[in-house]
Amino acid sequence: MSSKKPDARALVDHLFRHEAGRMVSILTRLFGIHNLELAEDVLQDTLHQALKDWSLGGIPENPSGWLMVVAKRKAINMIKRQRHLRNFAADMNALLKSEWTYSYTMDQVFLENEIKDSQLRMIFTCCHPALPAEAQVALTLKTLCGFSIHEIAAALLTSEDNIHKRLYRAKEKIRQEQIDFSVPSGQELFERLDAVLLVIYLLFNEGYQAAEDNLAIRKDLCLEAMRLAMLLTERPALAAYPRIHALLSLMCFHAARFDARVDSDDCLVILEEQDRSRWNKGLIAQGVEFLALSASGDTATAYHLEAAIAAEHCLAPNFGETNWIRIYDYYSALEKLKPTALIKLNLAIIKGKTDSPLAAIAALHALEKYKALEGYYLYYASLGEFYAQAGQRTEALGYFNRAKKLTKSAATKKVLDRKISGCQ
Amino acid sequence: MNQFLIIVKGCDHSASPEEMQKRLAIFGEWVQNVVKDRYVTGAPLEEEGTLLKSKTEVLTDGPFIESKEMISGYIIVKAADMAEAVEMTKECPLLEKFQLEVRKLKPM
Repeated sequence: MSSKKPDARALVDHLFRHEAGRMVSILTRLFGIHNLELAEDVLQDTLHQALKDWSLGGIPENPSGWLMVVAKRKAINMIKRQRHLRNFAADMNALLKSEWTYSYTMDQVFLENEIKDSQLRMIFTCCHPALPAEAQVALTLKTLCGFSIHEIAAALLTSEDNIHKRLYRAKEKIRQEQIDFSVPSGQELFERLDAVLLVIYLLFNEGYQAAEDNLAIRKDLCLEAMRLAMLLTERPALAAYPRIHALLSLMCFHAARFDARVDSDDCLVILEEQDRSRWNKGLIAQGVEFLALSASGDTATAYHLEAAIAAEHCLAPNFGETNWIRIYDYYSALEKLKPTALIKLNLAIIKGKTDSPLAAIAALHALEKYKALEGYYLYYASLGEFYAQAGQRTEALGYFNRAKKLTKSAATKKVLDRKISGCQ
Repeated sequence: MNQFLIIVKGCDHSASPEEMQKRLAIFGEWVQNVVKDRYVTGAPLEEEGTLLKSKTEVLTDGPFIESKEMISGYIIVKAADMAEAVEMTKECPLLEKFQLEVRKLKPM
């Protein structure tokens, strides 16, 4: 009997979450993707037992190993109970149902490299192009990142009801289309890999976008996106794909600024006012490393360009010495790949740095037709800023006030108030 | 100082992995900060067991009662009297999801 006091501080941050992703993946490998709910039940049961046992009996020496052993035992019980009622993964069904082979099969499946392989299968399944993008993101968070419905809703700034629906539809679609629980091969691998990278990118952006609700959990979203991308690099065939590194690089550069982006009141701080000494130098160094790794092959993707832009910001000694000319060039190239309103807006703003306030004003007015910018405070704040720089205070005042009405952020309002009093 | 047995009853399945890990940490804090050196021992129990009603009536492979009644584990703490033991138990974070029964071990 153990009389050692439980000390949960010994546990790695987010251990349960990450082990949840590993366990659901390997359990799905066994049960088949059509039995995803069954895998989720076994996972829940396992974690619940860990909570109870570790509280009362102390933390085991190898928590991850403990969880996997218990999950395996519970999976064996589940298979025994359900083998006359349902079919498991097609390539294992017969092996799991026979008394003679199930034990050997289970041992083989629970090996470390099989667990990693199952996680990759899960990534490719969650990011299957047959599923709508929103569902891909929600399903990835649920299965691979161990997020609850409540946490997904908080992180994606939407309702739990919405997430329920997305997950339900995704699971239905997987069954209807008989989507395979596998890693594609050959030419299909890279096409599907692009879909995976897009989901990781969306996941990261959801966490990084400028909104102040649920900051802590949205930061987790960014970390999860980076973790998933790192998982991909563990397989040599995938690691040779330059855009994975470009995406990782861009995420490192953004994540490096995470803490400096938020002040002590949980309010967002704009780039110009961020304390650069609080930027994470380790992550910036990693970003540079990944950027170097990404510089192979002959395609400069949007990930490459966005990483290059983020690198310019991170490596500039201060806001004033930012290399706006180079950033303008990267944005111009990016606009050709992704002619979105937001990129055009950035381009117009940078014109104010490289050219003149009047040039920026003209470029900004040319964007009036874009619906996406209509309710976006930054569009009007930028107009206000350049009118102020051009000495046209009345116009500036009007735009700053309009911007202020469009933002909920207390910190942004504070900045705008300062600009407004500067115009009066 | 007397010893008290805290019996942990019931089970709860509704929590996300992250929440469960947090609860575990909060329990650790309770042991460190509230119970401190009065913690004697504790252990979780397997769900399965054998119930002997008599020499001949032996039931194996329980659980024999509903899961909310089932004993999940126990903790033994030292306290001056029942009131103090109950005060300590009231602070226990397990109380959010489990029922806790405090019983004094009779000094013999």
